Amino acid sequence: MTLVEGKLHDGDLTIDADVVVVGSGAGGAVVAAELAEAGQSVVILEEGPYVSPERYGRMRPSENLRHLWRDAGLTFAIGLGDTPVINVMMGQCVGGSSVLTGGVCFRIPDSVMNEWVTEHGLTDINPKRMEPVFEEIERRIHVEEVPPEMRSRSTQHFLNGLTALGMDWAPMRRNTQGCNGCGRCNFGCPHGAKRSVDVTYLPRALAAGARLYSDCRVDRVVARSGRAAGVVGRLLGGPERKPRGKLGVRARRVVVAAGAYASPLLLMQSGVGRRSGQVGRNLTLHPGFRVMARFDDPVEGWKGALQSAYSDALEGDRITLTSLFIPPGALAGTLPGIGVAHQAVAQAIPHMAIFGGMIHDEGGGRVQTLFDRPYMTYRMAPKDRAAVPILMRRMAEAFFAGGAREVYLPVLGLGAVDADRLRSIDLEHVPASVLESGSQHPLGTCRMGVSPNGSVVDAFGQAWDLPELYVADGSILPTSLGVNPQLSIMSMALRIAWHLREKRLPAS
Amino acid sequence: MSRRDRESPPDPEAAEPDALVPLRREGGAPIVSPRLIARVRVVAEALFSTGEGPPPAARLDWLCLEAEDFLARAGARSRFVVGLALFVVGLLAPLMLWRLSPLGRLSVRDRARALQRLEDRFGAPVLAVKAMLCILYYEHPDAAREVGFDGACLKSASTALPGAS
Repeated sequence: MTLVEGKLHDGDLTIDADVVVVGSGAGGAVVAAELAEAGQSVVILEEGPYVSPERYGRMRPSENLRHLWRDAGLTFAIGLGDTPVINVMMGQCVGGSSVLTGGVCFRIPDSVMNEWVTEHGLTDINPKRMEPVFEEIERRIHVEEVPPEMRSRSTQHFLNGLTALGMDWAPMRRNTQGCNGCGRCNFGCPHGAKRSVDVTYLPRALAAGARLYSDCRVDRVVARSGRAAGVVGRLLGGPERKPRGKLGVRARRVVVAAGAYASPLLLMQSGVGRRSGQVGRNLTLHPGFRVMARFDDPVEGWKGALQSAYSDALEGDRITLTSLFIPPGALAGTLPGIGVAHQAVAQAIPHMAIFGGMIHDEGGGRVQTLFDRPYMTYRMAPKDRAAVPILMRRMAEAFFAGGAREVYLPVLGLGAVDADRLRSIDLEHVPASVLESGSQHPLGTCRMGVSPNGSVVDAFGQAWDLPELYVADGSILPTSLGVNPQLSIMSMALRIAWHLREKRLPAS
Repeated sequence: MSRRDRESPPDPEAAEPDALVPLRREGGAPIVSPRLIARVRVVAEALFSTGEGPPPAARLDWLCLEAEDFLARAGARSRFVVGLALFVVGLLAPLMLWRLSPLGRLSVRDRARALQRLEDRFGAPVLAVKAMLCILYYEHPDAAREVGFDGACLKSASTALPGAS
């Protein structure tokens, strides 16, 4: 079986399958491969286009944004109260956001799983039970530690600063094989070294007989005889990817894995989850903030692994520090200055280092619709908001300890800050409206639980109020993680897939 | 892919990249309004100006085509966000110099001054426009070279899924 690009299909499309999986990202691909290899007839539907690794590997970053990212990377969560607007970046292509991550792989932290056990009653999701699940995913996507020689000078400068301040850090693990550290993982690996699901799980699924359809927008889950029995939607085509032919899939089981933004919308459109009132709620984002620093010597931060080290030294403040880099154009766009002033700071790009910090947030976000248009809102919990100035100050201090001449904090209009000025800035009272924040980790909008009153799905991802409808993506995580979620999402999906593999399919 | 050489990585040594044919509707009508692209150019001339004036016209032409293609593919919501930001910037920036004329009527130097003041006081709309423009602009080989970016590796291996067009 092969991939079918919906944009090339004329007319309507009706398909029969044992299982239809909505979404081809980190969650959907894992479920599809496991069930196809178990002999089930699997159809995967992806709203985004298929862009081969050859094509996305040759794209410039802006081309990648316009072809592979939802809204070309311009999706935002509206900040409520003392919360900044947060740019939420998500993939919309075959392979989903896994194509666009830095490849960072963290297991679900033990402390988080223990909280799920004690606070949410999810007793089966504990470190011991999850160990074989993590091991299986890590083996399949080749999780390895980033070697020191692949660390960029940008990252190394920051780590030097952490070390000087006595703060611990560690190398990251990523799903790579044969990486040469070209530093553009976020825009699709140009040589297939990042083991995203489009080069791992999806080929496995197709080899086992699964059928993958791109450019297919699912509008509704169909229920029959009190259980999920398929989906309906539209094929997308033409220059503006507008709805064309009708799409219908009759299936004995439906797995929704469209991510924490799209999955709750699909459930809402299908009338699922009303009982709990939790669909679309509990959105967590890991709000992220970048701090940049200028060094006297050339840094050329684009040379080396995009992400290679992290620090949990500020875990007590619910902050995780992670290395990253962004393309020079994106970097220039966040530096202050217009005209001659802009040219002056742009000339410093080769001397700039960047590090990121994200907040292990409590979550006060929501995905909802207004006149059928989806949007996100997010309200930072007070203790998450209080962590923002701590994050900025400690990161700036680390950069200065590493030898930086000046830093650029994610505060609009602030300009370059030297070590003396940092001490005098009242970061605690910077209004949210001038904070720059981004997120790549939307989670929690169809959360898992043990009671239909407080959760959308049960401990194996089945919707409380529609049997045979499963959710298997980041939306089911009951809380945020404080670490990059790719491996966690894949692990939760694998756990659900193993459960479904053993569970008899209902009669058609 | 509409760029003629889209199958080749950008060459930092190339004098001028091939012109892009932006995504248009079936029949050739533009998806992005020409007025929006005109506003992009007005801001870009000032944003990327040096002491010697705006960047070369050919580079701005290239940037405007890239912006049109980017916004055409970005979807209606993103076009609205960028369009709104450009409108607000165009409205407020002249007021920063106590001028009531449209931003495009100001000299490039005054435009830059007005935008700088707007960025210093109300950064958000400027940031939205500037972020998009900078991502595009610094992909031009000459612009990249001018800030010392030597280009990342772009070669790829063959790992397409079977059946792909």
